[in-house]
Amino acid sequence: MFDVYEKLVHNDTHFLLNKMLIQFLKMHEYKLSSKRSIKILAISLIITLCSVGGSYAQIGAEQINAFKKKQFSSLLAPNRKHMNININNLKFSDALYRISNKASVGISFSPDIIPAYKVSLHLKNVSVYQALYKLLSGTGLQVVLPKTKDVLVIQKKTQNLGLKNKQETVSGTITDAQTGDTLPGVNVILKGTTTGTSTNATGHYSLNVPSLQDTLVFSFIGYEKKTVPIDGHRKINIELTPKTISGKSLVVVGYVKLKEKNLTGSNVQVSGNKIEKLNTVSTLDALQGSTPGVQLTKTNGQPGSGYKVNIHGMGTIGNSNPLYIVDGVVVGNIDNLSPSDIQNVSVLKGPMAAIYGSRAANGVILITTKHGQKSQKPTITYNTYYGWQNVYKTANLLDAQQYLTVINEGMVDAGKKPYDITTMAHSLNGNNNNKLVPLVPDASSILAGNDEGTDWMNAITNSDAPIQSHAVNISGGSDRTTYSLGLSFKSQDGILGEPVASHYDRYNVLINSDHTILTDENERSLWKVGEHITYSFNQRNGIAVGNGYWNDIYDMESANPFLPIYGAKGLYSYKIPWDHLQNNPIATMVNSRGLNKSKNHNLTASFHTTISPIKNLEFTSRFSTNVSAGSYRSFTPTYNLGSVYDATTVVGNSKNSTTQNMNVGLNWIWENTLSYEFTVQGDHNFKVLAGQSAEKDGLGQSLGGTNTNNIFNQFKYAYLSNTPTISSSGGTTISGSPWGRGGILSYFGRLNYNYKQKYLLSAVVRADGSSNFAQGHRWGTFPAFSAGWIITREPFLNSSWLDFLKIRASWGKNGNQSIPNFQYLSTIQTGGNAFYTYGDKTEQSPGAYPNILPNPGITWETSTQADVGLDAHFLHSRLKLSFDLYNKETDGWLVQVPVPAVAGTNPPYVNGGNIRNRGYDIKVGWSDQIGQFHYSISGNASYNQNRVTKIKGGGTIYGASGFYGNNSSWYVAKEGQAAGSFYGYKTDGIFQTQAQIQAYKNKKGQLIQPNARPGDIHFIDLNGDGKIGPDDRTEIGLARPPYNFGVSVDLAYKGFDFTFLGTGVAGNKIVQATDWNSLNDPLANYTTGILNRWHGPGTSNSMPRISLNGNASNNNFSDMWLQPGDYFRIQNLTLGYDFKHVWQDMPVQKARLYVTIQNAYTFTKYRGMDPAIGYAPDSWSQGIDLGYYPSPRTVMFGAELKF
Amino acid sequence: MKRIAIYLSVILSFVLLWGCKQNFLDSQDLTQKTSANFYQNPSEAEQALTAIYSMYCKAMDPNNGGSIFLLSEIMSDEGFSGGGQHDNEAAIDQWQISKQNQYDAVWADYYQGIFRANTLIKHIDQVEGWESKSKKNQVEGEARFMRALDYFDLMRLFGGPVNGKMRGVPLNTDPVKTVYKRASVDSVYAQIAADLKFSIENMPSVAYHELEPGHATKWAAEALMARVFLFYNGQAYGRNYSHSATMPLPGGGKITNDDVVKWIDDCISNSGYQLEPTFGNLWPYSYKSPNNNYPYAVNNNLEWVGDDGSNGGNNPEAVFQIVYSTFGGWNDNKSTAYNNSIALFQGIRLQQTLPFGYGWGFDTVSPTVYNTTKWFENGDKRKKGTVWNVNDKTEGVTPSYQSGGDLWEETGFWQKKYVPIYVKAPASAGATGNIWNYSHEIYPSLTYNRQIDNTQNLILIRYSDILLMAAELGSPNALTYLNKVHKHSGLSPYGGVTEAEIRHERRAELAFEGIRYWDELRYGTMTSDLQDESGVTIWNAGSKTKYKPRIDRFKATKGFLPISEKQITLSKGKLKQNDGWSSGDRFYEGD
Repeated sequence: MFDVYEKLVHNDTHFLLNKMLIQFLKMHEYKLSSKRSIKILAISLIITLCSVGGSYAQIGAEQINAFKKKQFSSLLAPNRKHMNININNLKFSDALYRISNKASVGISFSPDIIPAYKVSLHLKNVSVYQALYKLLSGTGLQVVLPKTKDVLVIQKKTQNLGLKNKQETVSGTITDAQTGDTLPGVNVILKGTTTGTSTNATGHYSLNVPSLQDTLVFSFIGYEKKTVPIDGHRKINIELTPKTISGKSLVVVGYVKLKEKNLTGSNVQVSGNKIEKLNTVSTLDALQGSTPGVQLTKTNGQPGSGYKVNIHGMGTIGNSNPLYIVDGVVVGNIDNLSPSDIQNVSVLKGPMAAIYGSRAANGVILITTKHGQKSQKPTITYNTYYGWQNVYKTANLLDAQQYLTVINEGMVDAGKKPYDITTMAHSLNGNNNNKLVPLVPDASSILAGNDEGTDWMNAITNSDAPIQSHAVNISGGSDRTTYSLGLSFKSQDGILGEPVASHYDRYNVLINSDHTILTDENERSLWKVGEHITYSFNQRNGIAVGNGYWNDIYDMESANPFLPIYGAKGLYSYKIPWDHLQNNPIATMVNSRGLNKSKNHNLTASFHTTISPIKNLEFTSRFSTNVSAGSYRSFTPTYNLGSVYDATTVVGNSKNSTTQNMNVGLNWIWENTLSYEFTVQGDHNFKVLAGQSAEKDGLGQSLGGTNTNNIFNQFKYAYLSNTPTISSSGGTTISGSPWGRGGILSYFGRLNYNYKQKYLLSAVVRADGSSNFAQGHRWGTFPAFSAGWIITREPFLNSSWLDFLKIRASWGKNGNQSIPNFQYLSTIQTGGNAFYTYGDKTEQSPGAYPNILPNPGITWETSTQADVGLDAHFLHSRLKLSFDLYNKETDGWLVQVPVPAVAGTNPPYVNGGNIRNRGYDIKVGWSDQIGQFHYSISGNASYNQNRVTKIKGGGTIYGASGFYGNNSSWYVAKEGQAAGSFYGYKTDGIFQTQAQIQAYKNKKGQLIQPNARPGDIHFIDLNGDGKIGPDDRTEIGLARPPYNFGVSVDLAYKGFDFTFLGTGVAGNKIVQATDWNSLNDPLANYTTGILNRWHGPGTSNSMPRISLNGNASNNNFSDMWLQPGDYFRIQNLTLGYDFKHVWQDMPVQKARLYVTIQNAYTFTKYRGMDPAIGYAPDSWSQGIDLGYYPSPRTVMFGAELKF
Repeated sequence: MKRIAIYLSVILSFVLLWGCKQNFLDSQDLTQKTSANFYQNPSEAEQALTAIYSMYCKAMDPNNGGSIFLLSEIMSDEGFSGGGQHDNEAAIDQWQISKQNQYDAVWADYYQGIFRANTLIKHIDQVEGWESKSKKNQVEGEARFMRALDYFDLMRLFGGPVNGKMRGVPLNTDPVKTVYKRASVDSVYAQIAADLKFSIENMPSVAYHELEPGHATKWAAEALMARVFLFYNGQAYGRNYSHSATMPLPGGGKITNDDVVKWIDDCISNSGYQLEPTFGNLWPYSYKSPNNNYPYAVNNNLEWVGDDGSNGGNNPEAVFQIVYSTFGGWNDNKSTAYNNSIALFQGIRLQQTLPFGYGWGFDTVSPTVYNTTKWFENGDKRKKGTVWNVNDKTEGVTPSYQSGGDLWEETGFWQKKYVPIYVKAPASAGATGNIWNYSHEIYPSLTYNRQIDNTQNLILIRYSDILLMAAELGSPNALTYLNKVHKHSGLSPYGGVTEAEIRHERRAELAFEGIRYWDELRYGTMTSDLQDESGVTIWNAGSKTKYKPRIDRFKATKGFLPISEKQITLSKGKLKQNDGWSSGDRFYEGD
């Protein structure tokens, strides 16, 4: 019987799948007429939908039902849930099934030993063992644990009858070493024999042994095996220590795994289940709302776009990205990782991240991918969904009538006559013809209100844009080997950009396995090897979403509605001279920007070996490499545009252009660690680790070229080989360069100590040398210390309502070295405004100049962080609370401080100033059940206060300017303010009357705004110098929200599950730049926000007059252009039903169908399309809506199967 | 055994990693030279020099927001802004701006040029392997000439009054020690004078046609010295120029009028430059094409001297010029700075004829230039050689000029010196209207694109100007020089030299060459000149109106541009704004 089971375990996966499929088909055939046929049809429907064969584990006559059980550890963990059993007159075998289902635990038995009678059983709050003991009592059957340890086996109590000379009896009670709970069902075996028994419902055992000199072996699922010599004792009580299964009770905190309860740093964990359940495209999407202290903002909503991530505030205006480590491998980002491959995410927020010293100043995100577990049957999960995405809030642009009204008001304001678009004429074909035609096509229809003109944004909207995903994971293990395989595919269309709408596809492969090569006589592993490989391939194309000069959405928002989309011959229209700068934005998007495709391959492979010559001493060596390759193509075809006045066409572009780029390269890292765990005098527990690592990155190169005259005129032929001639007159460029190489050398150590698991101490130190700095400035040392006290383990605190209370504190230093290499030298640039032509006009002479001022003293940026926190569980662990208070001071941030142009070249990177981040994170959760109704509600909130405390040389670092209509800088880093906060004039509404302007005087009685007119903005003379000038500017709003919060609700009733996830921010501002632009470029279109403009006393106090003269002072950047950025978004609503609940004999463990709505609704006062705006031209600010690609609202249906 | 092997491998791994030496962290830049290994040989010094010229091209490119040539034309009394209804340049015609930071880029460009010059000058002594001392002096002299030119342009554009007192611009001569504060007028001019003096005294005396065109020469330095000297001693700084004028040198020395006269006479006698006898031959409209003829040029028997330096440089009057090339484009290596964008800006707006090609319509000519004798006396050949009256049928321009559209400050007169000149194009060229820039005939590799195919060089110092400056400075040969230039008019020679005659001759000879505005400033005639222009007829987008110059704005600003607010903020207030540019009326409100 066991042999059959073993075979099952060791069969390879394909075989198993096939076998299951055959079984399923057989069953389907012969049971079709039974009363279950409808259920089976339903199952087959699910299976067909999911396009993977189902399974039915009926193996021959023996009927071994071996259901996969995943939640072992939670069952067996000290605080496991007990259950209620209600069995009414069921067949004995069905009763067993019921209990096994209820407990999600596999039970195996041979049908011929099972009694034929029916049973009833009613139990409250019992464990699976207690239930089985009750059921089996009097049957002569018992529960035992086979060698493979992951199903319970029902067998006859005859095992020890073979012993003829029973001489002695040994008995005792077995308890959990941590909780003291008694453990029923523990196997007690006489070493070297098959003789054994198991403990009863009260954890008691009694075994006849031949001699009191023998040895007993105690084993139990989820616990460490213990071998105990009897040594003459008749009573042996044993404490078993829970085995820690990865990702559940252990947390990876940097080279070591620690029990969550014993952590002393500030961390947050998110389980893979939770991530997977949200069905997001990227992992970071799923972290939003569940990770207090981690601020995630999308840079734009285009498929495949990344996030801005700030952990415990932004510590630098240089590179503030956290360090990402996937299974020990440092990677640049985790955008390529499939959420379905993730077992666990651990975010190190606090100072203890210092074990990653050099790059940990901005926190560390540690990802563990799915691994198999020892002695785990093959488990196959399949998850798929298909969804439809739509724009959830439209841009509200003016239609042609509204636009004309507004423009004409501006004309009148400027003292001009309003436009009469029906009589405005235009000379056809420039100078060659004097024939005049109406300038605005269809002007009379527009005037009559019959034609609303072109809604450009609507024209590029891709309705019901599809999104789909398939993910399969197979994992399992024997006692020496574990494995996990993942395969997934995701595809997402963009909601904007028709007919060249954005698109993103991603394929992921995961292969993880670990093998024990050598063990000692006690089966303790001496030598282990393993590998972790993730591969991803993605391809994407997109529209322009950059600054005001490279942003198709901005172009749609600002294009006037008078221009029709199409002109003569069905071609895109040629511009009309109404606004001479404005081309047909769709034609530009389609022809010049939208034809592109990038493909990226990313392979992360890590090989590790662990040698443990003596117990608890482990040497691990890990070599990892990250190989990436990418290609990009883009194409601008030759094309014609159609006149909107007659049947002629105009050459839009006479020379096509093909661009092709490729890059390939890798980085590698080799780490060695030596760790030792030991206990002194029983209660002093130590874990020490020393390590070293060497890393090289940027070992790669890029190659690219652009050429004209592609012999085909289509994107699909956009390869340089199709451009056979080099154009001597321009249009040909080539490039090829190595990646920027760098290296880091590190030595680190770690000590963890606890006394009786009550007083916890931890210390880490790391020294890093970075090639980014000059000799003498390369090395940085980063120590950190932390301490914790689990008060509830003190005898004096024995409260019935407080189950667990830990207070903890930590302090440490982290570094940051993220700058380009060679900043300590002045590099010489040879391209880019360096050429000149002497004499021969067809021959360029190369020039060269230093493109940066050197800074030989540049060195590490250091952040010093202190954190205090507590974790508490109340009311039988139903209420959990975690709280962190932190203060993080960053010294010497690495930044290119802009200098006045007088300096003559680019400024160097400097250790430019200090930033302080302070704040708190709080997380509260309640979970309980009422009958079969399980519910949990959790909420988290974090607050961060960011202050620039010092800038080298004092003053202000200005953000980018000129990114939108030649604007000035809108955000700054300035001493005493939050870095990246908006900077401009404070206003006091709009001057309603001339009298108000006259009354606005300085001390000398002069008018403060002498040139203002009613309808202009009333600026506040902040510095009191009697006039309005640049010195009156100040911080006018926070760009990054100080408050972030998330709420989640999970409900489960019988087979139903429901999830609600909401996220929100508060306290920040957003610039809706289209409003501002309306003053800068008065002929551009407006959003309906402009309808609230001032047009007479009392009409508006929040939007100034429109004037076609240009309102030069009104478009000074001021708080008038800021809108509140607070929002609360219903991020995810999911309703699922597990059909396993009604059809329990379905051959799957889980057959869940669900419907999800992502981004269901957003409560906000912001008028634009999406308030979650991560964009700013510099990485250190955000909240600037220049035309922001919004996140879609997605409705999706999915299925989840588990075999 | 197994265990021993394992332990050995553990030890080995540690040893290997501990063995990583310091040089593990050393890296080398494989794509760029660095300050550690550049400026070693003459070729690298010449590359550094080239980058200085390159940046000057950028500063001169009106696409970059400001071009001293185009701006001075618009601000002067000879030209109006022109351009389209919404173009930003119209504002400066009234000494206003239409957007913040309007002249940020041009300011930055000059300082980038200065930085590049400072770096080369600082490192030139470490360069080894010069073929001769004079070669090194030539390169250093060019770098100093360009630094002087950059500073002189900066002074003329931005060195305006602060609280009523004229101030200089920030003066930096060391690339790593940057000063943000504005220097005094005298210290900037002293630096300019010192650089030019170095160039004059050290650069080799080689006739111009023996040098590669595009390079600055000893002669150009002598000429620029004269121009700087005259401007420094003019009304812009409240001085009445006389022959006893001086200009300071750093550390207390002086340059006297006699020094300047000596140098300019040296230039006239020894440079090899000479006057082109036929005025019209200086400009591309006299280009003889096999496919085309411009009736005016044909009738006057003109033939362009050309500006192609490949055969030694054949414009005998181009003392210092920007060489424009076939490398126009829209990226860094091929940019609008490398073709003559000024010609594009000044071409007739959005239409094309033979020979006057496609342009954007800037620098429309004041009717006063054509209709009065303030510029051209009756019978002066230079009048029609300089200005095109669109109603003059004898010009033979085809097809006829179309007025109106969105052209601003249209007058019906266009200058001919720096405009796109078109010829017939072969049908296979695909050129709009089958006509294109003459450059396509000379340089077949040139891409057809009307916005980047003007290759005409921009002559910044022309020999006529040198002769007239020499006369003005009191050279003993003043009358000879004046009459040499006057020959261009075809009128009878002057009998004697007076200040008024020199001024008048400059007006006629050098019109639309970026000279006039600075003459108006140094003569102090701007206010009255503007009054002369007040009320002349212009057309804005086809509507007839009268030109209203903002004399008040000129008085408020003294004719200087604003430093961009961005730069003032970046300097943390160390940089002070010029007068007239903090008040609300600095913003252009349209006509």
